[in-house]
Amino acid sequence: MPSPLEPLDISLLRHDKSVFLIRCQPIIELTVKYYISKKMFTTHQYSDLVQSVNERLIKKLNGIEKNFDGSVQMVTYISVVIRNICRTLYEIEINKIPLVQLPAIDQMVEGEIENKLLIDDELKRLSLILDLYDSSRKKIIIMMKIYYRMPLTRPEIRAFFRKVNTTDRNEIFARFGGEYNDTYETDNFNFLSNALFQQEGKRLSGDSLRRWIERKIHDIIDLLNGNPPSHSFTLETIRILFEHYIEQES
Amino acid sequence: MENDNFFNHENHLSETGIALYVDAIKLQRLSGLPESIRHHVKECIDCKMQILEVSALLESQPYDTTIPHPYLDAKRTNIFTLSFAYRAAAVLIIAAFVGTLYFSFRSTPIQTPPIISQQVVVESTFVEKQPLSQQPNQNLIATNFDQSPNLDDLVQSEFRSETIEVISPAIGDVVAPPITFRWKNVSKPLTITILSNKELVLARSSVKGSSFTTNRKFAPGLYYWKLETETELLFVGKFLVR
Repeated sequence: MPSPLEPLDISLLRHDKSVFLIRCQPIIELTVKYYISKKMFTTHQYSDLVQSVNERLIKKLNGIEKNFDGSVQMVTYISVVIRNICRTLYEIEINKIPLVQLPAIDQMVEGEIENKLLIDDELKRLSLILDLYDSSRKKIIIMMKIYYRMPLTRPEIRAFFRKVNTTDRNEIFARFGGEYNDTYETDNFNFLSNALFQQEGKRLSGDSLRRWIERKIHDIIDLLNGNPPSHSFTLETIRILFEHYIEQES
Repeated sequence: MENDNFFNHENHLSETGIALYVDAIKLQRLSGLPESIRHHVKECIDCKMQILEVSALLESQPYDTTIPHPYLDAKRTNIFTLSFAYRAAAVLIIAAFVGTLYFSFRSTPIQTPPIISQQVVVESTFVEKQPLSQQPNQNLIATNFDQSPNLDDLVQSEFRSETIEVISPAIGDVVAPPITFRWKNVSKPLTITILSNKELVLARSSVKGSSFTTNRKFAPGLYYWKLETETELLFVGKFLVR
């Protein structure tokens, strides 16, 4: 495990900017290496990039001193600043550097995608992405399961459809608790829209609901793929990842 | 404590806001974040992207969980830290308010529909689906202007693939009949749908050109309209009738 970064705090910034900057170097190097690994820059640019980041960071130090209000960890705050500097440098370089395409995940055969390390990393990212949806997380998971025709469990139906009466919850389980590959998507989402009306009090057509979850899935795909994309998840390949995620969570 | 520093002038998370969220992830304290930040991130893909990147950068860096976090562990004034007298007064005021609301709005129970689906059948020609007049009762006129949380969310969204450009009405325009909806940069046949602010489909029509005009008289209120191809939603807008 890497050693922790040297402590950074506002008093150091105020009294000794040179030492503060020296302590930022590991974060700068980490960030530049990260973006090189994402193919946003080439390895040959490493030294120049580190220097450019330093130059820009020096110019920002007075502003940081003024704006930093102490409500967050300084190391995190500086990481955000350095990340933004790198992003700006990327915007400047974007026309000069040809992007190297990583092998698309959807071009890999299923055997390769079973590579455990790859899956573990992506599962962590998917889990974090779903956490970012906060109170919508459960709804997104349930609707993704229905979108991908995966069975719902009784506990998750009970946990999510709390305001729906027991008889109707049993109907939901009867419909979605087992195999339902031969059902019509329209029927499934129309059924779901009535259940959601009981749960949330909002009337949405089945079609709107389907579009809503499709949009969320596309957003999740964009987040997984990154900007610029370093992966190539699609509606189909994210299903595989999602299945692994559900298996891991159960 | 709500902190103005968490959002920038574009109403996205500032560097401080992003850093706070990442701190909360590292410390597994997402529930300690302000509701405003959690709500924004829930809806904003750009801020999510930033958070994910910074989290990935710091993934291998251990955080010292023994040191109190300046925000997540800060003591904030809430109902539980007030003295007893203030708490009692707060409880009485809240009880009085709730009681007033209850007696003002007590009504017959809302009938929930059976779980068995009843599909909305939509004609492909221009037909009236629901009465266009809204409730005449003065007390309910204000609700005709309430925003629909679902449709309003779609109004703020960017949709994919087609590069449709809507010319009129602009979002939030006040209009009067005849109402002309105009757009460009789409060559496929579209369906235009007009909905009330309660998400009831009022009208739907297939359109082959780049405009649609209706002479229908709408009661005062907020309305939404959608443009869709067979397979995707292209645009959601809203307009007002006074």
